[in-house]
Amino acid sequence: MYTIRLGSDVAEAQIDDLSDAEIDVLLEIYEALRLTPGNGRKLGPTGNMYVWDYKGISVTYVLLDPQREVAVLRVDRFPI
Amino acid sequence: MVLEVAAGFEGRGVAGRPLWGSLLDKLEWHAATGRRLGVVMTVQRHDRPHPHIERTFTAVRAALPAANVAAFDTELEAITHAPAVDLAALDDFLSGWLRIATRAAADPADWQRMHQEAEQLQSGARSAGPTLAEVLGRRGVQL
Repeated sequence: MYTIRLGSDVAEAQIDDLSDAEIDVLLEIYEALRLTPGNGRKLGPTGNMYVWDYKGISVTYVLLDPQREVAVLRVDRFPI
Repeated sequence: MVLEVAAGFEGRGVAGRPLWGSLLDKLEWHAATGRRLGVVMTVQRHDRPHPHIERTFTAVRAALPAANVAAFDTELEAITHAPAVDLAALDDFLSGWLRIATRAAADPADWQRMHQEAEQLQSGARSAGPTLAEVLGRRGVQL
């Protein structure tokens, strides 16, 4: 199991802005990230940045494997 | 548009495969379907207008920041190298990268800042903040 942390103040502000329904979606993403964070869409050939899209929410995060942590960088609504 | 997709990948090691000829018509269909079905419009954090990026492989790739193009190519290669190309996966790929390109183009400075934050976290220059459980707990959500 991975620990999910906030890796950016921006992400924290974005979460504060989510509706209750969007928080429910975030909780579903949270469960997936705790188990298999490496299954997201990789943003670079090197490094460990990923995006996980689900039901209108995009979570961008970095995987910190030695600590078994996921640091959430952004929580965006789908732009389109 | 079909011809544009094919021409856009020439010289990048993707065009010229036998599967592309039969695949492109299907891609066209999927792109059109995505435009019809994949519209989810919400207000972003900065309330910035989102730039319009055409839902084609070449347009999305061209709109990506340089730091992300290689990942786009790598994932596309993996999907199209399969003995039987999974068109649903290809459609999901295009939708996902269109969202990434749109977000990056809407606020390039923030996109770059986010990458810098990731590097700092990975290098240990800074550590991650509170857990998501703590943040949501302040909102009354228990995990």
